[in-house]
Amino acid sequence: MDRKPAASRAALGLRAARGALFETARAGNLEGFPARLSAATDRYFADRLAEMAAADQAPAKRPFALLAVGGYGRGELCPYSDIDLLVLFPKRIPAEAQALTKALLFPLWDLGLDLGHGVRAIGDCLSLAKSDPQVLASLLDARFLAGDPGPWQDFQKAFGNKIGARQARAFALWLQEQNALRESQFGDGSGLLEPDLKNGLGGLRGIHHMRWMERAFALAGQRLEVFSAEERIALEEAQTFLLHTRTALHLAAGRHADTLIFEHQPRVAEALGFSGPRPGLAVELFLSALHRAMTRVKSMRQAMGRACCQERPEPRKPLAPGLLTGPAGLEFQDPGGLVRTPGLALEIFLASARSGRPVSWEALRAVRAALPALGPALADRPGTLASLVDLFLADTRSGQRASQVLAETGLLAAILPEFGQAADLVQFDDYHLHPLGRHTLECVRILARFLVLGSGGNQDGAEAPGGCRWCLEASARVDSPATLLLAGLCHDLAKPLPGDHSEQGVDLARNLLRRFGQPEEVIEDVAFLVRRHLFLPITATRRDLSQEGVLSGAAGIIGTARRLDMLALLAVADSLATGPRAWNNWTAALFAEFYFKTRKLLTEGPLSEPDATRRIVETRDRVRALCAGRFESAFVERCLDAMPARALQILDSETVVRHVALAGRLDEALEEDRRRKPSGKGGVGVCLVEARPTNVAGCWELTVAALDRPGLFATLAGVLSLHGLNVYSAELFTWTSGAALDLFVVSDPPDSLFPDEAWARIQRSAHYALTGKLELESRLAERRNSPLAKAASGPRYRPAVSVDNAESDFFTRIEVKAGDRLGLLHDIARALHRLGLDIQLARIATSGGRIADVFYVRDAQGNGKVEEPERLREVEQALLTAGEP
Amino acid sequence: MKKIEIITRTFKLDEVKDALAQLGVKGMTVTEVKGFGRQGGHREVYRGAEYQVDFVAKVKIEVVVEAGRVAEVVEAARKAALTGQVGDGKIFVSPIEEVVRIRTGETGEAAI
Repeated sequence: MDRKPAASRAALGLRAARGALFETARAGNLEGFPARLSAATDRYFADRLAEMAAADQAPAKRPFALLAVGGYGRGELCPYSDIDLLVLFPKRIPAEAQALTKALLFPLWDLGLDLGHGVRAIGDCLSLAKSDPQVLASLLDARFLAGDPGPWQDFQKAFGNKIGARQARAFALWLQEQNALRESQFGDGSGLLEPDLKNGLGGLRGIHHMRWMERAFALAGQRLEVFSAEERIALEEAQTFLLHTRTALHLAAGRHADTLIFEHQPRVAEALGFSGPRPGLAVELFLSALHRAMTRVKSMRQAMGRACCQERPEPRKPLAPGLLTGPAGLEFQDPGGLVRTPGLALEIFLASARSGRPVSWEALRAVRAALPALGPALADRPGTLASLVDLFLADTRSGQRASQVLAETGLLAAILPEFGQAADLVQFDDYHLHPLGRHTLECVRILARFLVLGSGGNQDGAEAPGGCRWCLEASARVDSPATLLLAGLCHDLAKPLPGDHSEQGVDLARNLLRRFGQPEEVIEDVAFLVRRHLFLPITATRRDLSQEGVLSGAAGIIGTARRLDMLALLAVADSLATGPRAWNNWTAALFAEFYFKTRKLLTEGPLSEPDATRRIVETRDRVRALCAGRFESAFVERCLDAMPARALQILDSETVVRHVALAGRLDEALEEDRRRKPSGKGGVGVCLVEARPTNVAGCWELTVAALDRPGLFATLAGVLSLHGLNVYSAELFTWTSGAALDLFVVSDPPDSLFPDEAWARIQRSAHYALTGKLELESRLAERRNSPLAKAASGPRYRPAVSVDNAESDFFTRIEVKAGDRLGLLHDIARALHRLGLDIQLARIATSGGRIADVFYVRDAQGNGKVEEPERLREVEQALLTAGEP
Repeated sequence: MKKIEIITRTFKLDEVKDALAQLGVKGMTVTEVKGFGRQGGHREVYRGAEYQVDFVAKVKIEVVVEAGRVAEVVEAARKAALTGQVGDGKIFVSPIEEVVRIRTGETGEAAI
């Protein structure tokens, strides 16, 4: 049946060669793979031309040259790279060119390879190269493969004559633009945990840029001598590492790929020979090495770009004693004398942060050469730390920053060995965006930005980082910016040490600051901030902030409003620097709530008990006043008696009025339903959903009113996740009238243009689910099994359960941590319901594929808290099962 | 194997095409189509009289991919076709039983 075209022997040879190379690479030997694959492909073209001649499919009558361009031209083919070809004719393209390319390329096509080809005359190449820099770049990589060398030699001669100094510079400028585009599109690969190996900054494309610049300038008769011999060797090593990584990535993915996603990292790390005693460590070591290689490529690419792109070299001008500003950035007046004036090494970075001008490559080289002497000369001196703090405060731009370069040269590590030990640490999860060193510097940058904006340096009305305007108030009150910045610098440095990094960090910070002769009060403040840097995020997102006990406990731990200001700023900066998964508007709102409530406690003292009672009375009065004329007063009184005291305690009076109105509508709906279904089934499934945008962007408040019944919350949670909503928090109010008014805070519905349709659909689904017409479990399972459901990236998390009976007098606090998945809240709530536990309040904190759900529960039989050990074990077991992936 | 049909705004065709090519999708079929969804056509006034324009011009892009790649292809197509306004279109995913490449007679995933 199958009539495949007669296979070409050359193609069969290539297939066998590729098979053998893939085999070797899969077995773990990546050495020279790209070059060997290129060589095997070269052989195919030579063989194929001979084969065609022998089979009388004579190639063209006119002379032509077969050229490899692009990655193939560079001889760096990864397993699934495109193979780009150029068939070059001297003058005109003859009619037989089409038959020729077909005969050459079809066998490759049938092998399933990705091909790109062009057929051009020399003249076309030259004019295209003139008008399109992309063609110019590809021709700079061209390599003669087979055919007639004549056209190739002619082309080279003409090409060399066409490129002058002006063209080379214009080309370099175009490459600079491309580099900026790459950064905005693919990010800085040297600091990302899922870097793009080709297009990210520090990726292979950066190396290509350098090569192209060198070649273009060489054609124009200029030799670029930016780098030393050692630096070139280091660059070659980085290139080999990147190419091996990309090769292993292609093999792991089974196709062409450039982004090193989590899923493939373990196999790539193994292929490159990394191993470790615990799973994940190999990946962390591998990523550290990859980041180092990409950092090298990135900074060399920058230096080369600066060297090529000057219009006319600016004259050197003195900038400060010992420093010059020159054409390629800031320079030392006497680079060799750096050892005698070590302070200049920090000054040049400070000057760079202040002026926004880069430090020149020569100056960086001088710093690197002097590192062994600079470390001891600068370490452990109070002045050094003061200079660093000045540098951080001046360096609040995002993007390429002086402190980043300071870290990349190794100077920061030479001064602070603790930073050096931690900087390359990578955490193998999908939560952290950056390795630790980059995270630390980003956290410090955000803190500095808060401090600068808060102290009145915000003339142009810039937005506060993360949109947290309250942080500016807090930062305006910070009396010692240095303390806060040093805490930001130290907060995570103990992560490489075994044990809890907050606790370990205290000793580390104390030792470090003492060595540098910091005053005792600064040391104590920093030690406190490091120890407690996770306290605010955990408390704000997982505790019931309406409980006086939680807040007074927090106030007791924090102690003073002064420390609270600093702790809150550190928490916000740390979360923002971690990545988008650690931060959303809801988290921001919880942080703010915690901050303001705790601050009030610390400045105005605790609320006394009678106050809480008075608040209930006041709320009742306000509700009565607001309801006057809208509802019958007897109905309002009935509602006020029926609702739980907690509602009056924690809700504002407008919300209570809305609840009253909703209760009225629920009564009407129930009555109507009972009239229509007199069989006693009346009222089942009646459910009202009312939605209101909150003052937190991206968050809605849903109030659901229904007749209370066991498992109602689990059903509602299931319905909400079926409709693609994330639940951030839930507060359940059960009225003595038998009604349940549940208050949810949820994310924007997927269709934010028509939110009302979403709420109507949710109300219908809830109705069907409550009347048994919608099988939630199977519908959720269907959703999970959809081919579009995203497989969990990153590692899997084991569920964990903890129980706390001390926090509240009436409720047991249960915390479930697990890997997030669709319908998880529904499953946990259902488990709690089956255990006979009533949920009062639920808080759902999701960050980076993990959830920490907190429930305040009590026994449905009215026994209050869950305290018997046996019962606790039962609860724990059931929740662990529910939390499974 | 799955067929993915992307119905999108005509001017988004190139962006969607490029996004799919970036993922290594080898071929596609493009059709000019007319239809309406929630946007339900719209009213236009011509010389004082109101006309209901029932159908809106869109393009339909059809691709067939291995089942395991559906999620990323759909995601890439959606990102490329997105403007956030009504009328961005829809994406349908359906199973494909068999594929034959006519020139060679190859079948299954080798033929897509």
